[in-house]
Amino acid sequence: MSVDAIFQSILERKRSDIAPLVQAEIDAGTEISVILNDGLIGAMDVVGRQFGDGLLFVPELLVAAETMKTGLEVLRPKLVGSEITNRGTVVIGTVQGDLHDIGKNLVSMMVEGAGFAVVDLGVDVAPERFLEAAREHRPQVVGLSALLTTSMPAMRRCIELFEDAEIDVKIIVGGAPVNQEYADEIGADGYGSDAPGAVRLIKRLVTET
Amino acid sequence: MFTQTPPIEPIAPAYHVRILTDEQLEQFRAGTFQLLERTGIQCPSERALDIYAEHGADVDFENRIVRLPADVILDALAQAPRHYTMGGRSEAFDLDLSKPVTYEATDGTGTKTIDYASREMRASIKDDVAKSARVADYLSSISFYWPMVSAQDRPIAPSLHELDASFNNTLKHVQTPTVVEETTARYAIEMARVVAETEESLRSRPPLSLLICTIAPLAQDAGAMEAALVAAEAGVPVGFMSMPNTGSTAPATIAGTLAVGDAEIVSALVLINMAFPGAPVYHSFMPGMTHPRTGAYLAHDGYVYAIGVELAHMWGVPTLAGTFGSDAHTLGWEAGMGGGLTSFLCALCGAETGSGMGLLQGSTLLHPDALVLDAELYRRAQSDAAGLDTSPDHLALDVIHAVGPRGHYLRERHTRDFLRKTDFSDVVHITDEKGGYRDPFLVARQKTDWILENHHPEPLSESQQAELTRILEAAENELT
Ligand code: B12
Repeated sequence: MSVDAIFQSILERKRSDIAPLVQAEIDAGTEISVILNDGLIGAMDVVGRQFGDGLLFVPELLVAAETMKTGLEVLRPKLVGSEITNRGTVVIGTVQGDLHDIGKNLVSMMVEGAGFAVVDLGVDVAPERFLEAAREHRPQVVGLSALLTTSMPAMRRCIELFEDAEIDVKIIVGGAPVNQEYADEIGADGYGSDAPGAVRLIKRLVTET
Repeated sequence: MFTQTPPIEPIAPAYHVRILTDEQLEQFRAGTFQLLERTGIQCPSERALDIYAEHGADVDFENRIVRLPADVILDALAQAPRHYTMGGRSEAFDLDLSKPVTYEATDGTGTKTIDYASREMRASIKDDVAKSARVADYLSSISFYWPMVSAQDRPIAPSLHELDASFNNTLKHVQTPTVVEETTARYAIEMARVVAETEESLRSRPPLSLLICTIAPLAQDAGAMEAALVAAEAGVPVGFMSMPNTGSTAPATIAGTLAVGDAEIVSALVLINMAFPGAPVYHSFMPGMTHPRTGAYLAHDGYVYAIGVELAHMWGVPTLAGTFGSDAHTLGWEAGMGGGLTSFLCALCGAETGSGMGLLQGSTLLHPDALVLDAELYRRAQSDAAGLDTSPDHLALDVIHAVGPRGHYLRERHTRDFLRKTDFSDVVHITDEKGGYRDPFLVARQKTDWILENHHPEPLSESQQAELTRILEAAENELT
């Protein structure tokens, strides 16, 4: 079965091999949901476990996630309008006044690797831009990252703006100076202390919705 | 009543090492020229872009990319002073960067504190800055002070509150890593002017310096560069620290990390000396390393920071070396791994200044006793670097002759004299009543408590204190 080949190309991180494999499978009439779940997402689940077990290094995880994304791009036209979706959409960014993005990028990458569509707004993102992106992409979860105690208040402003706009989305926060207590205080829906924690949190919130 | 601040004791190396060969240094120089001319640096500040363009840089205003030909770089750097003085509140605490010594500072600016009294971890507050400044003021190993944590209980202008707590609690030079916008920089300089007392002394021995980070790879922050320009105009030293992270914001090799970091720093040094020729600047290379399995930020081995010292000197400016700084989570063996050795190497490479004492968890956690313990590692580096006194008195041939074969030295006057002169630690090898040694962690805690109870550095004059408060209030009004 060549869904296996798709699966393998992700495990082996063959970024340039995967598109034709996915295309061939579509042409062969394999069900889209099988390609997606057994091929792409299934492989990333294994990659995620390998990473969790310490077998993979971060840049290897990144390329595996990109391989999966390349495959997903080929599949995307078939997904539009169908019942099958990816696991959900997450908008993420580093808040206003803050340029730290190493941690946010890691979170983005792992969330994407776990099968979510990720819209990464970059750094120094104003609350209004988060809101705009939420309206445009209709994510289940918005992730805010802050590494500076002086940019943490921008998280609160963002949450307030979303509340005022009555947008139905879960907002989660993270970054070294942030903790659960602060997340609770500003009314965030969750806090993650690292990238795997962010993935677990997002999965939980998405199933809840 | 106040107590005297003990004199500072910088590391004075009696011998030196070179890590890179001349050929290797030349490779880095050529690398920086190539990166700055070919790849360029991203600079989002309009003001800075204009300055670059006026001084011969090739500026792509649309994409905010600056490319710098080698001669433009060299012309600007030729203006930068090789040495200058960073002032303390009194001259005894001045840091004369032309002296062959290494002055070291505390680490900063963390976000969490293990409370000095309750020993519980919590978010850092202004009073932690005041307390840690007093401990640093007491310790001779600490020559200048970085606000160690953030004044999170002062949400408006926290960086200025950090300066207020610093200036009020130490006579030593203060260097801030958190003044990174133009407006706060203006107020910070007003505060420094109050401490310096005269405009002349603000320029000749400024009691404040700024530390600005470049953004790896190959970028600058607009607000921070504008803050740097404000400082440079006032004659307040400003340094640029690049923190490329090997494997994420820099190539996964040390040489590649150095290449990225050096190019960033040079681009910023050049800007300042284009705008204000002769402005005191410094070069600071403090890279991190990506944890391969989690992406977490780790410190490098010591020689990497020491090479940063050599690069700074290649460009003809002083350095701030990364001499301490631990990613250990608690006090203990791991926390002691890097500091002393890195300090030692950087001093042997001729670092003028270094920082990083007293924080854990990758410069985010203030542990009350960590400064006193790091001071012990510093002492070790200092003594290892000091070389040897071989004057006749020290060589002691006459005493050796007098004692002769199989005698012993305990009853000799020479022994009594010299044992008294030996600088023993007051933290390790402290005997207990059972004839063993006391736990150095407990001794350090006691010493910290003792300092906090007994050491109260000379306060600023009442009018200076009032002025600082007035400036803080004005800043808070403007920034609210
Ligand atoms: C690297 C670094 C930089 C780099 C950033 C490069 C980049 N591209 O990101 C540079 C050099 C540019 C930089 C600049 C500055 N920095 Co800085 N920086 C750091 C440092 C050393 C490491 C941060 C890091 O990358 N960690 C590694 C990543 C993997 O961890 P992480 O970010 O915490 O992310 C993990 C989790 O938190 C979580 N997470 C992160 N985001 C999210 C989001 C969500 C939704 C979830 C669920 C989870 C989550 O998952 C991540 C993966 O495990 C920290 C100190 C530290 N040890 O944290 C200081 C630090 C944050 N910086 C600090 C300062 C002061 C600055 C500057 C002001 C310095 C200056 N004078 O210019 C500037 C500010 C620039 C700006 N406007 O933002 C201070 C902040 C103090 C404070 N009061 O808050 C710190 C604490 C250092 C210090 N002790 O002084 N910095």
